[in-house]
Amino acid sequence: MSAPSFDQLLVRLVQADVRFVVIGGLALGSWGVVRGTKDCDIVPGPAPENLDMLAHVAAELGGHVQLGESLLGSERSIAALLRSGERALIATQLGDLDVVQGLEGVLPYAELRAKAIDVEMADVTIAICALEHLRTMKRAAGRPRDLVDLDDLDAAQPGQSRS
Amino acid sequence: MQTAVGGSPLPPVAALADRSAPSGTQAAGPGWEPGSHVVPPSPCQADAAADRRLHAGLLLSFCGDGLGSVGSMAEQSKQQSYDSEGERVRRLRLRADGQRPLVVNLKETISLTRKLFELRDSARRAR
Repeated sequence: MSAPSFDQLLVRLVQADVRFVVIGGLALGSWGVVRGTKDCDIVPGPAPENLDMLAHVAAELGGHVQLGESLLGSERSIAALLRSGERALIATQLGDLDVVQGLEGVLPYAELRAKAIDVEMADVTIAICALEHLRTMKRAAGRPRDLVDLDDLDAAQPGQSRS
Repeated sequence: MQTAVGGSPLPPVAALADRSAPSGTQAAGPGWEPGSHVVPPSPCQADAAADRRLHAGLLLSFCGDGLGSVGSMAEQSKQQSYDSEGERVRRLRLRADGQRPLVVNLKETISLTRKLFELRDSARRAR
């Protein structure tokens, strides 16, 4: 894969009316901890038709999912995977899309969406997860990198202490 | 069940990057207040900032091992001083970034990521 274009990836999803909230490295960067990230993490709305549309966009972008020895590349197979509630790392022409669902410590879409911040970029509106939710998920993940990120978030957002 | 949350990081490259005070037009946005000492950069300035971060990261990656091997007490003390100063600068920069509109930071994160991938790819091709 060449260098990712996560902005174009996000725009394509929004233009296709896929409902999602951005979490992970891009959300962290949005809140002031700017660093590189390997993929674009999103929590999708769980409605089957939303997941189907997500799979449609992914397939249009040449998306495929490596599952053990299997390589899922068709819209139908990706949609089936997403509908099963599994997390899916979809490699697309515009970069890796990590569709996060069913993970312990990751808040459900409805909760994330309720407090997400809408950001206007390239004539579309992108939902970025709220700072408190980002902190909650980072705490739950608890990896060394997450703890560093939490510390950096505190430095970037000193007015909003950890709860 | 897996517990990892997304956001797999590339190596942090902004750690010791300095940010010269940018000039430009202030813009409204979450957490942004007119009169703040940090002004959101234009796209061109954002690129320049990303470049500075990138170069700082490169310097770190190239110099990191060498700095760690410094032997004498005096040099170690000097190094600790650098580390302390670097950490202070890093936290100041984080605080400044935290005050910028989310969209500015989002674009910069995306831009920085792209540059890092391009750099990695060109390094692979050069080998």
